[in-house]
Amino acid sequence: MHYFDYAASTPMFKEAIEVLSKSCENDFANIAAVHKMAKKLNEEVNDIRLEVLKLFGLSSRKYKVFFTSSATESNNIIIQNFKNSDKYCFCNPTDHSSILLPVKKIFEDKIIKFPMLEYGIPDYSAISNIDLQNCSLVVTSMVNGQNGALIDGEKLSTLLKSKNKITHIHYDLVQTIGKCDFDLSKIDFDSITISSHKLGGPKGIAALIIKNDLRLNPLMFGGGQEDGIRPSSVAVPLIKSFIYALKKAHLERNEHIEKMLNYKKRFLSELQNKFPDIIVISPESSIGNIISLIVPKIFGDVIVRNLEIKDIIISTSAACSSKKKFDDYLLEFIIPAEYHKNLLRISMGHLTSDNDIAQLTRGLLDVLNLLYSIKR
Amino acid sequence: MDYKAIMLNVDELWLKGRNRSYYYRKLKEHIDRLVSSYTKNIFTVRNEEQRLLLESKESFPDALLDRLMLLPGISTMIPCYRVKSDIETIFESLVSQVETLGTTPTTFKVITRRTNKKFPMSSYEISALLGEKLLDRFSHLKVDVHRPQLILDVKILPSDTYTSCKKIVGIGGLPVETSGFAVTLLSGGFDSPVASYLMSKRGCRQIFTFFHAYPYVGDEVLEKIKQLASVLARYQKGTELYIVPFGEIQTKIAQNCQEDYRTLLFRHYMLQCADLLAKKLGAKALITGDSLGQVSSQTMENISILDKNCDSLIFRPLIGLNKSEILSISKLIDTHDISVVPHDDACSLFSPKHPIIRADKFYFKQFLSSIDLTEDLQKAVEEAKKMKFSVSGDLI
Repeated sequence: MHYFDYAASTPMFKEAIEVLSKSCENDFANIAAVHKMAKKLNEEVNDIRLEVLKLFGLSSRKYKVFFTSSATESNNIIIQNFKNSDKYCFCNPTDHSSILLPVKKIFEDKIIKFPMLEYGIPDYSAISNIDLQNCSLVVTSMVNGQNGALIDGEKLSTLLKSKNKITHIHYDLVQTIGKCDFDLSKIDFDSITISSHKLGGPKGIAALIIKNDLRLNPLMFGGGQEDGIRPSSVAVPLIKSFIYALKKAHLERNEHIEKMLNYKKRFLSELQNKFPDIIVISPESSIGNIISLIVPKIFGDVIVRNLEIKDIIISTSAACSSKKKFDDYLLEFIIPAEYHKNLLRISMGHLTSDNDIAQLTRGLLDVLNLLYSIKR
Repeated sequence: MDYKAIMLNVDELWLKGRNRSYYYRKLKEHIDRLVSSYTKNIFTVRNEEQRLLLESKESFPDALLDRLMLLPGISTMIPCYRVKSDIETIFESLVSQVETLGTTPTTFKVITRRTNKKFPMSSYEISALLGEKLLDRFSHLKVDVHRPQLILDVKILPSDTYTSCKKIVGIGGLPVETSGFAVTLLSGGFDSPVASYLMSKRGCRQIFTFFHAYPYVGDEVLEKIKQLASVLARYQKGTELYIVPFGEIQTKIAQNCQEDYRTLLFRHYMLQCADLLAKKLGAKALITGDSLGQVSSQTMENISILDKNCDSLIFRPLIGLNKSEILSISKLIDTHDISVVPHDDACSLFSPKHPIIRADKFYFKQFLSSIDLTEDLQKAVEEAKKMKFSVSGDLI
């Protein structure tokens, strides 16, 4: 089986599974309890919080780390804290629904969209001309999950904070960590979301890093864990497994980034050689792990099904299998409506091997040859 | 409503002559199976003067009455109350039924029939007496013997009397299985389910086949097909659905034929496949939803070519129906809202820009002899996924 849907979820590192398993066996006490087992676990988790900060060069005097169940939850905690704000939200129209939906719910029509160029790249010079005085929140993913488009966080933050120091800036780093080289200590942010299952860790755990002075209302009410921001028994085994994967992914990123970029280059050159009418919609400035393409004559879901017969797993966009003719969301990428059902998304990660790429390339070429011969 | 007795009138009885007992038996079998699927209570079905009387000690569920209306072979259904055969009791039974109807029917008539010759009054006398008493009791009612809004029916049988105030029209036709066994080619559209229903009504037992062009179409369409089969099973004594993998066969055809002949050739090979399935299961005919001129493969020339190249008899009950008529029936039989949901049943990847309207039979024959798909068709039939549906339409 050749898996190419890392952007949706990733296989776990073997060691992360071992850490999880061992911790499930030993760390079963509730860290909020009064006895010594709990205290020990509580200390361990607090150490992990500091490790996370240290990993990204952040000071514990400025930031703190909370654990949640998912990136969606982390994003919602931040965004929903802007309820009843009569100010605006400045956001990326090509972003993930875990950001755009809560933004729409909370801000309703008080939304200013990033001015965008093609394929998910923001128009930074246009952004520098926008009046953001009435803006209370800026939120964006740093890497786009649909096509891998990369946002320059340092540049964006500098631009934004120079216009309005009060605006809260939130970055979603779900698709970023381990796949992109960045220095968080140089980026001016108020909060960030990190996900576990997109970088070889288990599902069901994520982190939210916020500035120490940020007061947040919780989404749920209960036992007061996580400073009251996120009540719920803390999932120690998931956290331990998560931190293992996080460290491995971030520390090994440079090697990984180079490998992915090479794979992407090789794959695309072979593909475009044989099928020059294929349109690549991952821009120049995108991570190597995600390759997004349009195959003009063939529907994406037909290609996916033909590949799955060969045990090769790739993805499309949500528009491909929906009953609607086009997707407003994809229009924001400046992808013409006529191609919305022709998208493919191929995404790689830490277990992707030379053989996987070879099989994918051969498989896709075979499928395209077959389908093109039928389509005429 | 609280019915423990239902009188079922059998359709087209006068046509049956010596085969009458066979038709009764088939109809009783179907009624038996259907009622058993709706209630665990003991019930009986007996012949009562050329009608079938369905009775139980407990009331029948309303859902069952809805299903009985759809049973092929039943022309009308009269839900009734069983009471002792004396005038007062009969009268009170009629009174309580009239009371449930409110004041809307203002004219009525009583029709009495008695097979119990021991009853002291004649049918006419009984009707007259009951009518008089009803006029006394209900001031809003008037008698109208020609065109009454309400007919109160009284049947005095040797055992007891059965009274009723309504007659429900059924689908009529012939009991399932009495006209033979066919394979129906089902698609997700409006036509084939209606074709199936019309043949059910003529007593034709059917199993269904759907040609699934995976990987060119996904699995979503299967949900729709299952729902259709489930609805159509209610007009049968339960049924089976065979999902035949057709993607590879379609590929082979498309790679070797002229583009404009694709749709017609797909149709031909589907019929061939259905024919193989029919022979395997002992079915003597195929049923399709073709209607003359509706789409390109349904021109006279094209239908003729398909017919001549198929071994099995093909029934096309919709051949003379307009689309609007087909849609009306689909609403009546509850398949419209399932068929209306869009899906990709015939992947647009294959659709020719200009499908051939009048196929050249020489090219057609030449193509058939240029490629041998017998093994592929047999393999597809063998690999078909089989699903069974009960008489109430549930997947078993």
